[in-house]
Amino acid sequence: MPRICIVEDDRHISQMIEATLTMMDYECVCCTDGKEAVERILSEPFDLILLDIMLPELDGFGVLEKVKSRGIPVIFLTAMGSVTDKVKGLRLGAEDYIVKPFEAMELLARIEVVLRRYHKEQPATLRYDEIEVDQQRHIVLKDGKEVPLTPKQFDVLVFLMKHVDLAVSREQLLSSVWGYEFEGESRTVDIHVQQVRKKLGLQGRLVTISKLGYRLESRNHR
Amino acid sequence: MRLWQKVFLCTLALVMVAVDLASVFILKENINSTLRSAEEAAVRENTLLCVNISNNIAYKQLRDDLIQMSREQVNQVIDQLVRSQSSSGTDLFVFEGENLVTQNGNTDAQNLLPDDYLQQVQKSDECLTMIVPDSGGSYRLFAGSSLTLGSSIYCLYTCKDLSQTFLQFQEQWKFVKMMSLFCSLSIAVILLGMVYFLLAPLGRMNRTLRQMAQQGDYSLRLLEKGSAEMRELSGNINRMAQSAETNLQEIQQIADGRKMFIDSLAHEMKTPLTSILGFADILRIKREVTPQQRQEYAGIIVEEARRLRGLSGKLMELAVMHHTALDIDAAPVQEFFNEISLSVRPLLEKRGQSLQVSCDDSQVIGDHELLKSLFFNLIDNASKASREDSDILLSCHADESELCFLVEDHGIGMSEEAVRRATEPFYMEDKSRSREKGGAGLGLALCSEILQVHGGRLKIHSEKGVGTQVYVFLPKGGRAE
Repeated sequence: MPRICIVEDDRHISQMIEATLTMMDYECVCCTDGKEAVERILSEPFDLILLDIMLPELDGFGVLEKVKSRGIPVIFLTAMGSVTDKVKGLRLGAEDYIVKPFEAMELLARIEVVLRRYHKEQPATLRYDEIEVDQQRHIVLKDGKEVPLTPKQFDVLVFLMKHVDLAVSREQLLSSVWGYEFEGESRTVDIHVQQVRKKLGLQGRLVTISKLGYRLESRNHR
Repeated sequence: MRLWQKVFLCTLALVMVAVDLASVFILKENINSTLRSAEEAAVRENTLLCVNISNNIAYKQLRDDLIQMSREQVNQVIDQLVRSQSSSGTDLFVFEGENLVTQNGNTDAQNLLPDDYLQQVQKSDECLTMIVPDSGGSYRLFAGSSLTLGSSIYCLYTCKDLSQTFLQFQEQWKFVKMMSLFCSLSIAVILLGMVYFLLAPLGRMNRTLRQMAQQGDYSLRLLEKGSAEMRELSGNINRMAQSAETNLQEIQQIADGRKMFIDSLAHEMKTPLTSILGFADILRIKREVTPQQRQEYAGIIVEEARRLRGLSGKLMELAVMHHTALDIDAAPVQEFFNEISLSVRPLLEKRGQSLQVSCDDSQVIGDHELLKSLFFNLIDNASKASREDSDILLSCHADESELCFLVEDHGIGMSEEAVRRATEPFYMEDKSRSREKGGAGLGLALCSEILQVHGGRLKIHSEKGVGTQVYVFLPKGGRAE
């Protein structure tokens, strides 16, 4: 599993980020100041760094410059929404920029995008109970038999399978499957989810959560 | 039209009109007096000739012993006389009624002279003159008088050629025109230079002012040169620019301060919000949360929400203080201190600390609610910086003009930089520690605001690891104003 370094001076925020990332089974290491972060990043392997800008000892920009040579992707976390900070961060080589406060799923989505960009070799197949998804060949097998799905239905299924046991809102599905610029309604999402549920016989497992969205639930939940 | 053009043209026109009028007037006077003296000379000559003729007639009568001369004899005498005058440059004509008796020279007097002039001369006793121009461009001065010889009335006219004089007049007229043109040109050049020299500072001012207006650069200053008015104007403009610059800087400082305050406020609000939103979202989307996790997350949410509440409370206090009138009251310090110890006791007891109070019998004048809030903040700070079971000292003594309060603790103390920046909004020496204890970084900023409206001041003395003394000075009679 990817190893992520969280550099954040506020104890509660780093605790929150850690809790969010553990939901996706990421491995987390927390640092509370810039110096400590530089030391750890230079001596340990990481797949991603979540970096706050306002830090004691050494600020986020300074940390980024010192660990640049490691080639680890960095996502800035900051309370400042100013454009100059954003530009400075991205120019220094940050991959993305998240403005506090953020929702858990937003953070996870951004992390996934950056990780995917860096690890081109994704797990080729996803597995959920009797369903198997081959992402490269775009094929869905249920009990070894192929189930035909439209491309959008396929994307919805993949997104849900990537977030098993997490509630996914219609907006998140819309933005990640149809793209941010898609001006569709949440009805579109509902129809696709229903078709996926029917085609793959996921009744009782792909549940609707009122006022929130959908959740693909695992049978043997820990 | 530009000012220099106006000044230039008006002055030039005025000067030219004055010069031309004067020269025309002088020329006219000159012509008139010359003509007058010519006329007088003509009249004298004419009269002389008349007397001469009369005398000759009388002499002839006496010599020839005639009682009455015949008309022919008279005409003959006249003819002789007229012809003998031929050398003097003056033409003579003698008429008897309408008929020319005799003449010398070859002037065609009969056609030149108008009839009414001839008749006037016949009727008048005096010598009359007239200037007659002819088609050839020459001028003649005629003088005529009537005289009675024998039984008939004769008229004697003298004619003098004035062409030369008029030619002179024309020369003079031409000269005056040339002079006027030359004068105008030289005056124009001098005027242009003068106007340019006098108005040059105006142009300079204009350029500088335009630069100021367009670029908003109020640091530019005008050169205080030129005439007294220009210097005065430049001086005033410079003073205006000076005050605009100062005001601008002040406004800029205020704006910078506001911006910094808002930036810090946004940061201070977003930090607890991030934890609250994040943990709430985890609780919402996660399928199963263990009771332990739920308790932990909810605990953090409550804690961070409390932090936000504290921040908004402090912000409210700041806002209220700026928008409400002071409720000034006087009370003995003793009483005031009792109220404070009562309100801070629960806070201190929680940490096992106590407040030691000492004071004299002076009066404290001010808004008691605000002053209580001030001391509450200071004591709260002292308590947060101190170990458990330690004492915090609150004392007051008065000197001639001020009441001096002291809040003293023996806690962790502050660094020099922290002492200097303590009253900046949102400044916290140790952010995580401060937040842990529920601080928002606004306490001392609020205190200094409260003191400002009371006309007082704050002094902090602190040493790391030894303790902190906060002195509060209040004017004795309330706010000085």
